[in-house]
Amino acid sequence: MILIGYKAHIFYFLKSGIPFFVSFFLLMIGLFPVRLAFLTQLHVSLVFISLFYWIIFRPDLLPPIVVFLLGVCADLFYQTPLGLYTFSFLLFYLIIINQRRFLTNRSFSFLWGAFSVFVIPLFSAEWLLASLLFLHFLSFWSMIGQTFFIIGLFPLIAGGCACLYRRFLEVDE
Amino acid sequence: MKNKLGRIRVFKGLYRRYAVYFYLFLAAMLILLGVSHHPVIQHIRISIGNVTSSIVSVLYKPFEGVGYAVSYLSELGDLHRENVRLKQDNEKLLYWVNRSQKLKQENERLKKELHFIEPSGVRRWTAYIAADNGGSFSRSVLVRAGEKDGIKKGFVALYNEGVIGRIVDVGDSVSRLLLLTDFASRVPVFVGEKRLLGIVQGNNTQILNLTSLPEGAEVKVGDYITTSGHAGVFPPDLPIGSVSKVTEEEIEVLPFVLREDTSFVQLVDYGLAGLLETDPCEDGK
Repeated sequence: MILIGYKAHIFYFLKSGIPFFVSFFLLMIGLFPVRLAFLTQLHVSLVFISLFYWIIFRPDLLPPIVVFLLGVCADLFYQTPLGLYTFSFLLFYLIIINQRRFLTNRSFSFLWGAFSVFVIPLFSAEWLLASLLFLHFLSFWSMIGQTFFIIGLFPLIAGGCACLYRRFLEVDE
Repeated sequence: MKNKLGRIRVFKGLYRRYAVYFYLFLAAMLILLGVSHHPVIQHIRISIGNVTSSIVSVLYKPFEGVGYAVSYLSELGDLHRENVRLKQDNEKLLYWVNRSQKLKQENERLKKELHFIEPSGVRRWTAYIAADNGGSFSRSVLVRAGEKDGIKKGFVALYNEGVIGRIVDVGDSVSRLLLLTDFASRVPVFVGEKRLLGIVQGNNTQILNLTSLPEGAEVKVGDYITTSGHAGVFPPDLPIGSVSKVTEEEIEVLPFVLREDTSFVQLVDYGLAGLLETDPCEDGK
């Protein structure tokens, strides 16, 4: 099917916005009023999987300003100290974009391992920063549980992102 | 013209190269702004909550069934243990039903003899939980009731008559409910039959900590915790939980009501909302 005129523009806009929309949707999932104790640990953390995937495969569609806006949204939606997630997202962006050349054209399991390597120190730093802002050590085990849960969910979310990438965005590159 | 285009190109190049550092600097500025606990930030958050709760209710619809299914499956594994526990609870409850009937009659008789005047003006609202906007660093939810429904800051949130938290921010159609388990929540309480004064403090987990007890206070597992009414945020004698663990370092309290127990809460106006501004336990979060 060939789209012309404004329909083509809308389709192109929607296609280009996939990394943002996916990340934003994952941000909203954390707000779902689910009555499951272990899910309340997830929240914003899901977004890191989406950021990781799109920064590697389509960094042009996820520039720093979009990452910044996602961080501001996360800070405002959730009752975290203002700027905490904005800073974490941008720091994560900076780390991944600098390591991008080692991460492209790699197997899915390699990416999974790499995500684990990046996310453990990042979540630890985030926990430390939050503890500093609260002037009290927050639950360490809660952070550890959240980290491993996110690592476990990586195949599901990154797999979904990979499907979207192959269906809509691979040919544009 | 050529110079202008050149300058734009240079600017674009610099932006592309240093954009991430620029935004990192902005994020650091946001952290400094957040540390100031400016009321405008909280106002923006609750205004955004009005919008996000509506988006969440739309997005959550298709997943509602999945949520129930996961919840059902996770409960299946504990079915036998749950059944044993419920049978034990039932035996205890039957004993307490008889006991409470006797106490109720005695209470009514004493009230009549003393010409006791019942407190009036307690109003109640029931509201759905619209969104979980807590996380690892906080424990709070947005409830679908706000200023236009008559909700005010300081209203107490109950479920099955047990305290779950209190309203700390009010928007047009949603309010933020700070759960007892939040790190910023501190409630003055009475402990056990001796009614020892202490403070129950959240720590962002499902367990609360009991602190600030008098020197040499003896607390044992199972001691009943109720609000003391000090600080004027909660009225006295509302059930909070029971002591679940006593060690030399800390005393843990299991709340009677957890966030996961319910999808709606009862908001109660005890007429204490006006005192919240001077609440010494409020840490400005």
